[in-house]
Amino acid sequence: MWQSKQFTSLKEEIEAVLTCINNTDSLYRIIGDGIERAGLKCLRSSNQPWCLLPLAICEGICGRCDQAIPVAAALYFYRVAADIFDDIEDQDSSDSLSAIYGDPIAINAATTLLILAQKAINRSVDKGIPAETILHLTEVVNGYYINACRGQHLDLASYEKGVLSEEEYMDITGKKSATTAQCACHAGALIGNAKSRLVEVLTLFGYNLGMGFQIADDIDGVVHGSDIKTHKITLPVIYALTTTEGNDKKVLNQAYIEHEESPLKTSQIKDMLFRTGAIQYTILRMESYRQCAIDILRKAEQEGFNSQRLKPFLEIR
Amino acid sequence: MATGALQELVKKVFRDEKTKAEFISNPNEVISRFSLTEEEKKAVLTTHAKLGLVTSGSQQLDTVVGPMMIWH
Repeated sequence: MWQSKQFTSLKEEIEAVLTCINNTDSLYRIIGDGIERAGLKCLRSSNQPWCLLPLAICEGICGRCDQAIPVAAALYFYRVAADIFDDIEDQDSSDSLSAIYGDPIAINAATTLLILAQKAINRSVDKGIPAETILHLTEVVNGYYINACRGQHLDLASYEKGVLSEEEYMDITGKKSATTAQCACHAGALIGNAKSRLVEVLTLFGYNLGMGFQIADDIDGVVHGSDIKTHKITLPVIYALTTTEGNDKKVLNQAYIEHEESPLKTSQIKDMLFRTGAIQYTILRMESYRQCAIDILRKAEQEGFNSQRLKPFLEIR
Repeated sequence: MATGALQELVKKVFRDEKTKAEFISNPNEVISRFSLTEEEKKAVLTTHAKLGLVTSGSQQLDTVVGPMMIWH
């Protein structure tokens, strides 16, 4: 009920920000298409969409969350923009905005979304957030997204380098992916006017949650075969390449390093990743981050934080 | 977050049938042989209770991974 209500408020805020583009423009339609695609994924993939994190955090601090709606909308615009840019850079999706409208149109739509995100943050003033808090918030959000760009750069540059070590992979994941949840939690804490100690704790919570989310995505990519088909090197593959020997290693090297046509089908590589313990290991890494997040949430509770809205994200009661 | 010990544990369990059998019957005893962090220990025991050792046909996998699938 809470979630559905907040999701509606968030959608209304997004629509309100979009009114600055003439709704007869095709740009409006294309951006709407991008948001709709991201929104549909959001609704389909989970009952606990990440975009509600700033609201859940804010409410846990001060008992209400309406003042966090503008920043939640801003982070949503940033994420949609980042996804569009990512699809252009990776060229691995047939239903992306760039695949449908072409790269130039998609780049312009993503650039517009970045500007809309800035406008959305500034709308916090209408919710009574002081100008100095908005300025600080802008600095914080920019810092996270610069970090995300650093992570994306490392990821793109790694194609030349070959297989990353687990440490390098987790570093990139932390910058590129965990940033979204970490930034959402940090922003929610600032809007809720949390004390600096609680801001730190909730930001760390967001980092661990974000790492867990991304590793879950890695598992899903193997279970449903999408990452195997595109030979994407994710955590289970890094584990398998590091620990396997003999024929298993030879086949994985062919598929992921030498980029040769693999003699194995997607389902056979998937079975190998399960059989070698790669998926078990990846699940344990995901669960370790989830356990860290749970422990951190307990610390936040000791600082007076009401964690009721966050518990569903971790499947705890 | 340390990772080496967790990797060693999984490698041992999946490569050595004796360790695998011991892990299935008494995970606490097996994990005590590895220098896991507290979070890693909890992760191993929680996962063991929910899933055991996963295979590609594990029915319960979605119940563990699904709730963490919140991107997009």
